Parts: sequence; C-alpha cells; structure tokens
Amino acid sequence: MREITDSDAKRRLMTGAAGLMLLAAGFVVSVITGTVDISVGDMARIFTGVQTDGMYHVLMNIRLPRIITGAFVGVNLALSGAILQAVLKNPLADPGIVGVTAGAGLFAMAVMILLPSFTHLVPPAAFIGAFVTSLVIYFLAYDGGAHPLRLILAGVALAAFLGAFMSSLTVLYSDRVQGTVNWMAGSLSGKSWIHVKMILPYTLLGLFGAGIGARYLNILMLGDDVARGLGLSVERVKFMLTMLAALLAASAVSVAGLLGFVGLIVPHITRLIIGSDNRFLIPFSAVFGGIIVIFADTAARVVFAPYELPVGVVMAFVGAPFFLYLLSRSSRS
Amino acid sequence: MNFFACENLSAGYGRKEVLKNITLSFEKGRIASVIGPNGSGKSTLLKCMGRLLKPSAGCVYLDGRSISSMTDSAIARSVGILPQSPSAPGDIPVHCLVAYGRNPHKKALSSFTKEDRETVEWAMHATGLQDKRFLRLGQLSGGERQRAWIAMALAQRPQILLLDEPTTYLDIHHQFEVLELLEKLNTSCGLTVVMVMHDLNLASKFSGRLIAMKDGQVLLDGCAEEVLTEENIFDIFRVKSRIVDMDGSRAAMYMGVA
Repeated sequence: MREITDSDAKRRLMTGAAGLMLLAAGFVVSVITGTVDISVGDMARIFTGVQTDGMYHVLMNIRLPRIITGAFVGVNLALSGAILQAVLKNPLADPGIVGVTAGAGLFAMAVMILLPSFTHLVPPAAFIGAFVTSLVIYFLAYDGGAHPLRLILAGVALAAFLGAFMSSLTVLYSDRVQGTVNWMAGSLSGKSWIHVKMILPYTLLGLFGAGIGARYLNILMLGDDVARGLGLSVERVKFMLTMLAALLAASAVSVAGLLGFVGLIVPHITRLIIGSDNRFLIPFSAVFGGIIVIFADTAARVVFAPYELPVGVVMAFVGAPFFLYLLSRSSRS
Repeated sequence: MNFFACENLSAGYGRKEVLKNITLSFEKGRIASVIGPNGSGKSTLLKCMGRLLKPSAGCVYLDGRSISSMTDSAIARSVGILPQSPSAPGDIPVHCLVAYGRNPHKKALSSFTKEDRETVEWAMHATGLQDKRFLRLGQLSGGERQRAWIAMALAQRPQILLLDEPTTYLDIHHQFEVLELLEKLNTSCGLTVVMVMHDLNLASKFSGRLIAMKDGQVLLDGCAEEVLTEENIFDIFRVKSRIVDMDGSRAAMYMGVA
C-alpha cells in the first residue's frame, strides 16, 4: 500500500528535477544559438562581467530579454490554462475559451490597422481587449452561477462575433494586413527588457494566486455541490480564479501576440505525467510552460535562419497534432 | 431536541415551483428518510436544507439560527451534504479525498494540523477504509467509493449528514454496506442523518422516521408502521402492494400498477 504514495512523491521529484534541468538546458541552448555565434565560454565570461564587447550587447540586450519574456509568457499561459481547465472542469479548456484571444486580437488589430503610427499602444490595447472580453463573457454566462457549459458557449459565440470584426478589418484594409501577421501568429521577435518588466508583475501575481488557489481548484473539481458542501464560496472562488486566468493570459498575449496551444497542451502534458492534483499540477505547468516556449522560440529563430518564424507557428506545428491526439484519446475513453 | 428545522420552505428552478411551503424539524441523533415519487421535490428539499439551493421563501434553521445568516464554512462545520453520485478525478488517493473534508476548518494559508490528521484518520477508520487509504478513487468498488465520500463528509465533523440517494447504482450488498455504516455512525457517534431514498424497504429498515413527499408537499410523516401501509403506498406511488411484517421490520411487496 505504502509504495503507491511513495512512487507518486518519487515521480514528482523526478519530474521536478527533470523540469528544472530542462529549463536550465533550454536557457543555455537558447542563449548560445542564433545568427551570432556565442559559445558557452563567452556566455560565462559575459555573465561574470569579464567580456563587454558587441557579443555582450547581443546577449544582454537582445537574447536574454527575449528568452526571459518568452519564459514568462509560457508560465502565464500555462498557469492560465491549468486554472481554467480546473474551473471549467474541461480538459480542453484554454485561455481562448474565455475570450482572451478574440478580445486581444480585435483590439490589437484595430490599433495596428487604424492607428498605424501608435503601435506602442498595441500591448495595452490587447491587454484591455482580452480582459474586457473575458469579463463580458463571464457576465453573459452568469445565471445564478457560472456554469462551465454556458461559459464555453458564450465564449464561442463572442469569439465568432469579434472574429467578424477582425475579418471586416482585414478585408477593408487589406493593404495594411501585412504588419499584423507576425503579431497575430504570436511572436517574441524584438522583445526587450521593457517587455520583461511589463509581464513580470503578472507572472508573480499568477504564481502567488494560483499557488493559493490550487487547494480551492482541487475542491472545485469535486463538483459545485460537493464544493459548496465543503464550505467553499463556489461562485466567488470561481470568479476570482477565472479573472486571474484572464489576467495572466491577457498579459501574455499583450507582449507576445496570439500565442496559441501553450495554455492547452502544457497543463495537459503535465497532468499526464504527475496527475490531477492541482497543488502539483500548477507549479509544474508553470515550469513546463516556460520550457516549451523557450525551446519553441529557439526553433523559431534558427530553423529557417536567416528568416524567423513566429513562435506561435512553431507551437501550432507541435500543438495541433498533439491536440488531435488528445481528442482521439478522449473519444476512445 | 429539534436542532435542525425548515420553516415554510418553498423553492424551485426558474419559474417552476418544486417545493411548496414545507415545515419540518429534525431531532438530534436520529435517521430520517425522505421518500416519494420522481419529481416530488425530495432532492430539492435536501438541497435547500444543505443550502446548495436558495429557497424562494422560508428559512432553514440550525440550532435556532437561520443558515442564510451564516457563512459557507460555518454551515459546513455543522452540516455535511453529499449529492447524488458525486464525481471526482479517478486518480485522487482516498486519504486526499477524505482530507478535503477538513476544508471548512481551514483558512486560506493555514497548514494541516495534528488535529486535522487525526480527524482524517478517524474518518477513514469509521468507514473501514484504513487499508485502502493509498488506493485511488478509480480503483475502488462502488460501495467503497461511496464510503470514501461519506468519510470525506465525516472529516467535516458535521452534526448532521444529508445524503441524496446514497445507495444509487450500488448492488444489494453494497447498499447494505453503506446503510449499515450510517446506522453504526448514528449509534456510535450520535450522527443525525437525513437521506433521500428510493427503496422503501431499505428506508423502513434503517430509519426511524419516514417523510413521504408528493407534488412538493409532505404527505405523510411518521415511523415505518404509520407511513408504509397498502393505502399510503397506493396514494403516493399509484402502486398496489402487500405489507409484510417480519423480524420487527416492515416491508412492502409490490403487486403492480394495474
């Protein structure tokens, strides 16, 4: 009997160690790969302040902020997905379901197309669009309680509605669409320390909030009636956690554009490895989210060098087949 | 002493009124079963008593206090409720599920104390699950799973336990296992039990009080000998029956609707 929990603990320990090692490896690989060759030795010399040439600039001001931004984007999207999958009791839930993608997409596109000289407003516009849309969906779906199915349906309907505006924009201003393509696919190209500073507070808030919320997520997964029977203020907890998820996803898309699939597949892979206990699922998802985006972005930079793919495209190449695999698995069981 | 009561309780879903002006009170340390045909309001009554559903009128009282004035966790420390066939991820170990029962006793950041651990331990022993604690929910039989849910509710340390059809989907062996467990908890710890039951004979065997509902109202309320009669069963369910008294318990043999 005893071994079962021991093997659980062991698997968590192994997964945690592997995760941290992968994170470190991803960081190093990402730092040394790219158009400018930087060796591990250069990296060490730069970090210790011995070397301060052009390579220093490339590493400290171009690669490092991009890697860190990517990692935080991955953490936020993965946390957001993990929270939503538990709140909505739906393993296929992702930040897109609460309108983050559609809202951010429309607002950002409107700025890029209608106010092309104000592109610095894209991140705040995307953030507001994402958060406001998720609030609207939440209240549209609310009927004495936020029922998961109603939330999902309201999300689909509103996404279609906002999608119509986006399509109209692309048709009416077809000459200006080119500039939006990279953002719409999700890209970390040209991210600087400003973006790190923009997303960092949300990552900290997310880690803190989801860390406390994990216990409540576990209880929510027992169903609303049981959760209420256990003294949980179900609607309040659901609302706060959904809004936390929306904030996390909004902050991620506002710096990186519409990066799909991280919020869906990362919590899912993590659940397959360590099980559904949110006290572990939440932190592990955060680590894996960071890892996956770092690796995907490194691939995006080098696979077609000197051309760069948006990281969202790489994620979709990997994410879409995995999504189909999940669908076929869940329909069989 | 009546410590749990509902007064002029009405409730429904949307515009449809399911419960009509129900007044009932429950004594400490007794087992009561609510019976009645489908749609008679049994589950709705239980949900209102466990504040899973807000009544459209009336009040539920716990120790003379209206539960609408109490916080969710304060109610949960006195009232345990299990809905019909609850579900959970199959990979939860039994001891984790039981530990969730401590939630109403915990604040957001408080840690699991010695008292919590002892209560969880007691709940698993009381339900005979001490050897299954590391098994996952999906590895248990139907009866064991129901016992695990009851253990979770016990870990809340409630004075009263509300159960909606605790024996649904269980075979006769497991039905008895669950009901005998409730009977044991009732006699050994004085736990008050109110449960919705479909099986009249099991309800009569295990509960001192039967409350028969029809069309959202209480039709009959009393001990098995008073409630289970051939005329009453016909009035409530439109089924003809014969009553058999054997070894001190009363049972009905159903003869058909025609």
